Amino acid sequence: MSDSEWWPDGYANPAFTVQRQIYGPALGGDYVRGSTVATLPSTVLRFQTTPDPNVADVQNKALLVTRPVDYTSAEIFWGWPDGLQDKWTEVALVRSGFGSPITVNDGQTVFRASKTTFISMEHDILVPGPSVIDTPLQSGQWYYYALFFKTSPLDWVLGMTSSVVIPRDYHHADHLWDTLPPFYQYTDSNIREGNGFLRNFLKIFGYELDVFREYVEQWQEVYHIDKCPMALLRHVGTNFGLAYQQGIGDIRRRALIAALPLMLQMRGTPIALKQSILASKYDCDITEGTNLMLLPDDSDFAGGTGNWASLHPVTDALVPTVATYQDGNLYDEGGNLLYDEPLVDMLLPEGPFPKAVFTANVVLPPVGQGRGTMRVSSVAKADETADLAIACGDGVINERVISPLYSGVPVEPGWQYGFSVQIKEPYPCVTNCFLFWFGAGGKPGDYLSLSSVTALPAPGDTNWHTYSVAGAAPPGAVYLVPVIAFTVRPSTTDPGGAYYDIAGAIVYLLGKDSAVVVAAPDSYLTLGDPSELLGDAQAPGAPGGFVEKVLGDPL
Amino acid sequence: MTTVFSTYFRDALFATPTLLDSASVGIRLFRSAPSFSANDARYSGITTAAGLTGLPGWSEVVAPGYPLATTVGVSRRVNPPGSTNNYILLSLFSFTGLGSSIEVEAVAYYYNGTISGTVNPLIMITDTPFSGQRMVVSGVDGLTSNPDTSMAGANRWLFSWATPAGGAPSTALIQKEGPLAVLRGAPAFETSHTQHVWLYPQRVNLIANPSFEKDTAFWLSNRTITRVAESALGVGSWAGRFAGTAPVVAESNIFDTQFEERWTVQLMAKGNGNLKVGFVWWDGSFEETAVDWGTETWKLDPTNYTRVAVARTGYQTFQGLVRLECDGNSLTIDNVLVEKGYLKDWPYFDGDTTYGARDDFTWYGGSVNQGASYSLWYNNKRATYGRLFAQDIEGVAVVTDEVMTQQGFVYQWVPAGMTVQPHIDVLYPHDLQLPPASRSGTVLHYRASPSDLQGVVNPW
Repeated sequence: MSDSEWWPDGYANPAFTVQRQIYGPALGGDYVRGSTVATLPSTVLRFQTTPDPNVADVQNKALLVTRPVDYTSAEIFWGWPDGLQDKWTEVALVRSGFGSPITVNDGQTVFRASKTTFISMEHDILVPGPSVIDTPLQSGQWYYYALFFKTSPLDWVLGMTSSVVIPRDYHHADHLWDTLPPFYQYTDSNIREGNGFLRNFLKIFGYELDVFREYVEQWQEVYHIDKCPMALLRHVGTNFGLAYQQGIGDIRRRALIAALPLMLQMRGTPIALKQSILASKYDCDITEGTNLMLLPDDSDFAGGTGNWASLHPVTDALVPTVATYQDGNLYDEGGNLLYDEPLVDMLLPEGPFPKAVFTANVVLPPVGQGRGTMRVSSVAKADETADLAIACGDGVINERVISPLYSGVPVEPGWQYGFSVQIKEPYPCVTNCFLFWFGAGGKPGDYLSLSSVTALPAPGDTNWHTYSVAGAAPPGAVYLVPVIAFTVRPSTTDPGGAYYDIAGAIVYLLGKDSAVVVAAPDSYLTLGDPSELLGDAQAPGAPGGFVEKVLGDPL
Repeated sequence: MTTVFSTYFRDALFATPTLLDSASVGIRLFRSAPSFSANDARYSGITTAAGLTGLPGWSEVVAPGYPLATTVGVSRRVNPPGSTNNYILLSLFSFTGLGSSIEVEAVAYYYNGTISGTVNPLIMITDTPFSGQRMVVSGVDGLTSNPDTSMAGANRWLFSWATPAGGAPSTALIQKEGPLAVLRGAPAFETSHTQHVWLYPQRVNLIANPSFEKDTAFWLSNRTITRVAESALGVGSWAGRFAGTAPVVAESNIFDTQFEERWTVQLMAKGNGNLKVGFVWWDGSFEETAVDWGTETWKLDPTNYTRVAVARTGYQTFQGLVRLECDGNSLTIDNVLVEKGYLKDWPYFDGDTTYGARDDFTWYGGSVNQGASYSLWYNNKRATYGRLFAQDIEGVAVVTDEVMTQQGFVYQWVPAGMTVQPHIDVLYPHDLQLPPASRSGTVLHYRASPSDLQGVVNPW
């Protein structure tokens, strides 16, 4: 069967229409959730989030000054913010070598003291802050300082940040010394060898030249992410398409940029997701969810209707009918399950499929069943269509054929799978859910069989009903396609026709309920063109082309 | 994946092969279990499930609805008919009734009834259904046996044996475990391709009651434990005192170590005599109780606290605890910390520490476990967590790339429409945040002889 043959004759319009809705914030929109159960103690915030009223008096209002004092030390001093006297209890000075700290634990606490340390007992006023010499530090390295004030038992507020580069000794003082006339060198050395007045005087300028040169030298480190000065790194990240993010702080941004090449190579994979999170300095693991459907929209319709479509007519013709519901069971005309008619009769005067009708009405999904819903409707004119079947992975919609090869759920023969879905049926009908199994070809004509059937009479109310079906993948099954059929639908004069809302579709693996002794074929020898399979020819009349070989088989 | 059959039950079965012809069995589930060999001699002599819980490494499930009240009927089948092959058939053992998800590593099947005065004697212990690993299961799941396609008809069997020849001893009855497996129920809905992110803390203090602020729970001693109203670091109001006849021994809670080898122990201590700090650990088999006492001996001051910080090493550690020994008659400790890595210079913390942003320090399992569980630290947790995962697209008709750049940072690195579900305050994937088990009984005994592998080497 060629692709063109999949296309049904006379097909002109979409089989049906679906609508979607996004509502509310999605998962992950809050802080500090231990689980999705909001009533558990472990899921709620331990401390309230009401901002500390003293924060505004402190934040970014302290005066913090840093400067290098020699080749291994920096001096830090600060002033108190105005109006702060009664609003803080402790002060902490924190240092990091990678960026400005935004919490007191973002680096080393260099200085920490309570406010009482700075209260003058004689005058009951705050005395000026101390001058802190931070040493030993590494020369040729930027250091970033942040001053924090504790304004409540729970809050350390950032007062101000500053940074300083510790220069390396480029011996500019010696260069200056070397330019002096020998007489002056001789005279100064005779006073104190190596430590004369003139020599010491030149060290003042020499040190300043070393500092100046260090600033220049640091420009050479602009693409050395671990050492690049933060002022430059902010723009480096922007050049790579990563805009500056104040929320994550300098230190995490540096880690993020360092991992950027790897992340860009693997964007869209769990590894890239993990790398992006590791920039937060939190280790993590990534695990996949349980829903095996191929697209997020296949399951909760938040961004569209995914691969859902009307059941393909070729498949439909192959499927045994399960049509009539009566007394809690399914019967054919003779009182037995039918196996000689299509699953649903979709032939209509307008064409082979029910005609689509759009409706503006949408509904919210049940709690915990995803972010959106899908509305399925069909013909308006007295609703000639009694039966309607939709599938995710095998069907036709909007002039597009959806085949199991690209849209079915890959399965392993012998393993147990389940399908569960929420359906709201405002119009009475009989609702059936199926698992359709398809072979390796992945075309509608490769339909193998269907699994268990759930058939329930929908009362025609506005409640959500849960439908589930489970079964084992039969031998030869490669793809699973969930199918929902609405049969025995009544005629209606509703302009919108009878419609059904669907939410929370999930295909899941129940278990590997396979035989005790399993001799699995080697997949490397069974992929690809069947005519090129390795192995011996089958006996005449036997199905298949070759007896498959297994790795290690001496024959 | 191995099984230990009870010799007690084997002998009963040998005496009465029809014992299970029309009987019922129950199960006991273990959250933690040692790795064991087939018919491991350490456990084959155990007669009841209760006998396991007192042994190192065994920790039974604690959860609402547990122990499971239900039992499952079994029957015996001879296959092929007329042969000596006996199969004990059973169907699904449902976990219905469990009030919450649980972690399971091993299961013990017991005979529902009394045999020679022993109530509910043990039939077998196995970790096969869980693939030898800790698995999270819930009330929708169950234990079953995979069908044996070599048998027609009922073919799910718990265990089998061949009837020994006449005159053979009971040891000739050799049982074989069936193809046991966990049957998964329908999971709760989640969007396809949901990525679960398990965010681990940057530091974890594994001492459950590190500063005695509520009580003396989780600590064991060979002497009397009391709380004293003082604080070593000015944080909190209480310390713990172990006093009595010398020597004084104090042991912490047992914690999972996840095979970490490098450990740091910190505490503030005062008292009489000298202090030894030991890191006691077991590997997955629990065949030997190992300890690293280091080389340090701390001379305690009766009045002032001394900061004790040591690095310890264990190999293939599966679980561990801290053991303190004082050769005087009194030991007072406060602010005890155990964490992985050699981090002696890092400051003490617990879930009540406030030197950081709000909620940076938490108790494992939530504040309901204050002073009764591990302590976790994430630096700047609220802001970082929010920037990574926050998502609010309410009122946005068309979600574009520009919109997504304003959402949680992770959404720039996953395919469009994908849900990223974060889990915080966890230590491993699918962590249920269960607090550590409290301890009872006595401290570990000294090793009496070189062959007494369950004893602790005397540090003195």
